[in-house]
Amino acid sequence: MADTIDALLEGCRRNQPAAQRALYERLGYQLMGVCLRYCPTREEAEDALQLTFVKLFTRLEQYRGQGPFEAWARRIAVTTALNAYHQHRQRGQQVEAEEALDLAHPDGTPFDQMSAEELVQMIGQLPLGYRTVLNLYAIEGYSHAEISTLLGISEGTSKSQLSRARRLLEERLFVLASTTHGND
Amino acid sequence: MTEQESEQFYNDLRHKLHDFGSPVPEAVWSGIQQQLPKPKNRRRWPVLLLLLIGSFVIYEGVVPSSMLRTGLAGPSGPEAVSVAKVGHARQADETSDLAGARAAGAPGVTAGSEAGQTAGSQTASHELASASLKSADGSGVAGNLAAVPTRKVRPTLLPLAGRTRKPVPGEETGEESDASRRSVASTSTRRKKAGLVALAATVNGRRSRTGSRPSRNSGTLDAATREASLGHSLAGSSNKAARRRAGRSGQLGWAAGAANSAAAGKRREATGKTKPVKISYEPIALRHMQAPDLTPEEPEVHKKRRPRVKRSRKDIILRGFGVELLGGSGISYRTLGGSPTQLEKLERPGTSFSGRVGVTYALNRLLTASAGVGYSEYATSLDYMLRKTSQETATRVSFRDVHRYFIIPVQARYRLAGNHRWSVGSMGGATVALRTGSRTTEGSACACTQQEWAPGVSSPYRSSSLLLTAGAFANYQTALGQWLSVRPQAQYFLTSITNPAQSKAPRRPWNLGVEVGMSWELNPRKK
Repeated sequence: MADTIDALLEGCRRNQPAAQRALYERLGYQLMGVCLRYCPTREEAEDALQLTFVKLFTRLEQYRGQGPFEAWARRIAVTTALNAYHQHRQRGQQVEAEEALDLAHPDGTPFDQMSAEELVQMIGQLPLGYRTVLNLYAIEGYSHAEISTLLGISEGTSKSQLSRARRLLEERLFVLASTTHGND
Repeated sequence: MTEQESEQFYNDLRHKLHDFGSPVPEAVWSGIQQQLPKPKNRRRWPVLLLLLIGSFVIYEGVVPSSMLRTGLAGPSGPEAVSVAKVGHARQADETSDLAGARAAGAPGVTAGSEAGQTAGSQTASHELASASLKSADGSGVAGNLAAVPTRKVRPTLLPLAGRTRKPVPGEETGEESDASRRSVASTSTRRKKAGLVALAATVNGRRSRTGSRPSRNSGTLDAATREASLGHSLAGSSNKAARRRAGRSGQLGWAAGAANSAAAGKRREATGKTKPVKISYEPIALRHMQAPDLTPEEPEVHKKRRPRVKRSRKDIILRGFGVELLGGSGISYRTLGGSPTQLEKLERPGTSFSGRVGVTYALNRLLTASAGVGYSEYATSLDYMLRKTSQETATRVSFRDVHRYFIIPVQARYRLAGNHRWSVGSMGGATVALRTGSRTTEGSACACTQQEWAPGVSSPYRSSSLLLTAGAFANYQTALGQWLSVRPQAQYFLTSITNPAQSKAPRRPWNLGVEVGMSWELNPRKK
C-alpha cells in the first residue's frame, strides 16, 4: 500500500531517508520531465532535478499545505530549471529563430502522430527563449506577467516569443507530418 | 490563427505533455543524499542493542554446546542436525512488509527433512530459523533477520515428535512437503500456536520501492534475499558460497560455520570415510546464568594498629621547641615627667631599630612562649634653629638622640585562629633592657653638641630598664616547620631610663613598630 503524501512529507520533515527516497521515487519521474523541458541538455536536467529535490527536502517547512504538494514541487522544479535558462542567457547563447511561416496544421490534434518524448525533443530544438516561454505558458499555465517576472523580460516579449514559438513548432510539426505521410 | 485556435493549440500541448516524465538515473539520488544533512543516528542504538542481545541468545541457546566445543565444526556425518531446506515462503502480501514478507517470494526457511534426505541421515523436521532480507537499494542492503525457535520457548534444536521418521531417499512425503511449505515468516497461526519468539533486527532501515518505475537492483536484491536465507546457507552449500552469503547478508557468523560443517559432512559422506556420530536429540538446555548478586558485600575491615613509634629522648625534648630570628623598625618617642628643659621639649619622634634571636616553646596548640636576646635602639630627634644673641644668623641643628640596649625579651603568644598553614594571634611580654650606650644632645651650654654616655656611674641614664611589649602576630608556614612571622607591636618602658640621682626629668620611651622574621620548629610534626 502506497504511503500517502502526507505521511511521506511528515517523514521527510523528520529527515527519514526512507520517506525521502519514497518521495523521490514518487515525484522524480515527473519532475525529471519538467527539467528536461527547460534544460538544454539531459545532464543539466539531472542537475536541476537533484537541486530541486535538495530544495524540497530542505525547505519543506515552507510548504503550507495550500494546494497539492505535487504542484508546489513542480513550481520549484520549474524555477530551479530556469536557472539554466538564465545562465544560457547570460552567456548570450540565445538564438532567435526566423519567424515561422503561418502554416495551417493538419486536421485533428497536431500532436497525435508523435509521442510525448518526440514532442519534447522537438520543443527542445526551439530557441531557448521560445522554448522557455512556451513551456511556462502552455504547459505550466503561467501568465505572461508571471513569465516576465520569472525570466526578467517584458510581457510583450513574452507574448511575442510565445507566438513565435507556437508558429515555429507548428511549422516543424507540419514538416514532420508531411514527411511521415510522404513515407507512407 | 485566431486566439481561440492558439489556446486550443496550447491546450493540446498541455494535455500531451501533462504526464511527461523521464526515468531518473540512480546517480541523481546519490547526489541528493550527499547534499542532504545526515540523519541523526540516535535511534539506532536500540536496534543495535537488540541485535546484540539476539545474537547472544542465539549463540547461547541455538548453537549446541558440542559445536561450541569443537569450534563450530558441528556434527559430522549423515546425522548432521544442521541440515535444512530452503523453501520459498508463500507469496507474502505487500502490505505486511515486516519480517521479510514484503519482498515478493520472500524466502522462508524450513528445516530439514529434504536436506536430511540429501545427507542421507535421519530427518530432523525442525524449523530452525528463518532469515530474510528486505529488498534494499543499491547503496545499502537492508537485512531483516527473523530467528524463530521451535514450539518451546527455549531457542534450541528440538525434535518434533510427530515428524521424525526414517527418510527414504528420493521420496518426499506429504508431511515433508507440508513442512517445507510452512513459512515461518508468513504463517501467523503457527506463531501463535507455538508461542514463538521472533527476533527481527533491521540492519539498514532503508528499502527500495519498486512501485512507480522499475528498479535496476530488484533482480540482484531478490538474489541477495534468497541467498540471505539462513537455511540456504545451512543446506550444504559450499564453504565459499556460505561465507560469502553470510558475510553479505550480515548474518551471524556461526551460520557460515554450520554451513561448513554441513558441507564437510557431505564431503566426508561422499568419500565414505566418515563415521556416523550419534547425536542426542534431547533438548539442549540453556546454560543457566545466575544473575550476580547485586547487594554489595560488606567490606571486611581489618583493624590494624599502627606500630607505635618510640620517640627518642631527643625528639621528646626538641618537640615544641623552635628558634626565631626577628628584626624590625618603628617610631619611638618618649614621655617626660617632672620639669623637662626647653631643649627636651623640642624633641620629636625618631626612628627605632631592633633585632633579636630567641627560642620558642609551644606550651600547647595555642600558647607559645619565647625568650631571647637582641639589640634595640630608641631614638628621638632634635631639629631646631640655633641663633646666638651676638649674631644675626641662625644655625640649623639636627640631632638624633639615641639609647642603645641589649635586650632580653620574654614573650607569650596566643593563637586566636589558624590552621596548620597559618595562624594569627596576640602576644605580650616583658623585656629587660640593658643599656649599652646613649648619645644625647647635652653637655654644652649652647646645646649644639652631642655627648656619648657609656654605662657607668656618672651617666645620667640607668643601666637597666624594664619595658612591656604588646602586639599581634601573623604566621604563615612556608615550609614544614618554617614560619614567616609579622608582628606589629608597641613597647613602653615601665621604668624611667634616667637616673633619678642626676636631677633629670623622668623619661620613658615608647615605640611603635613592626618586627618581621622567621621561626623554625626544631622537630616539626609531619601532618
